[in-house]
Amino acid sequence: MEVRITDQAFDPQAEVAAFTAGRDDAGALVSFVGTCRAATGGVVVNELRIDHYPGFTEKEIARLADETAERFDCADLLVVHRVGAIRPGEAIVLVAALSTHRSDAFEVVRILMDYLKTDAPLWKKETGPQGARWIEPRAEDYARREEAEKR
Amino acid sequence: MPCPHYNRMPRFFRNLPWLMVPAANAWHVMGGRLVRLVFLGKFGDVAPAALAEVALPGGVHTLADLKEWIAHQQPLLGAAMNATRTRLIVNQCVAHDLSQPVADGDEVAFLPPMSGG
Repeated sequence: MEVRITDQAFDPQAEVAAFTAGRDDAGALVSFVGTCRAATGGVVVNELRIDHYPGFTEKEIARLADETAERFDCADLLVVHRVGAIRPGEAIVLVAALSTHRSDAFEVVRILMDYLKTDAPLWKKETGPQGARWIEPRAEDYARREEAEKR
Repeated sequence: MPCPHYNRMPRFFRNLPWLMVPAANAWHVMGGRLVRLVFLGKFGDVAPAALAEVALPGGVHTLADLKEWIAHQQPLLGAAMNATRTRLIVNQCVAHDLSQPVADGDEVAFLPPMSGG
């Protein structure tokens, strides 16, 4: 399992290719990539800035990833998360899971993403022509997290 | 005795000649406890750089005291922390109880609601 926090732009395809290279033990790969939108609800975004708490952020994401992987048949898991300044179109987060069958890989990626939304020590700030605003989890993010807990 | 905290003072201060008592008192005035404070997300926008490292006054013993003291020093920051769910992290470990004592050298971080993914 690998968890990486980076302030550099990354290529999700290249990350997934490296993650799966030489792996013949898994029958399923599911990956999710979250990217920076150019607008949120009609409000233009020029830049997204993600604040993190060095050390603690890595530790907490690794814990969430471990706990999620343990609940399912997960052969391997990769999490790459950007911090710092991000431009529209760039990847923010990549979660990729390898498992024997598809259902476990789908569940691991979905549940881990639900946890990352509300429990990963990261703080997003969108900046656009209309100013800057900090993003907080939406009610539906908390609801999804509750659901993830039950699954 | 130069000050009520004489016994808790580092040896260097206790061994100072009596003529240098003001130096020992200076240590007491500093509070004797230095803590690093980290303000994440929107708290970082309103927290002054001067709060990155502070000497705790004598009356600040617990995390609750510390939070109250910060709010008193920086009303804007205090209001921001009280307006939302604020989590405290001490030396990279989640603090579940605000009655937890604050010790010399601690790093205390204040976290607003998270928004990753």
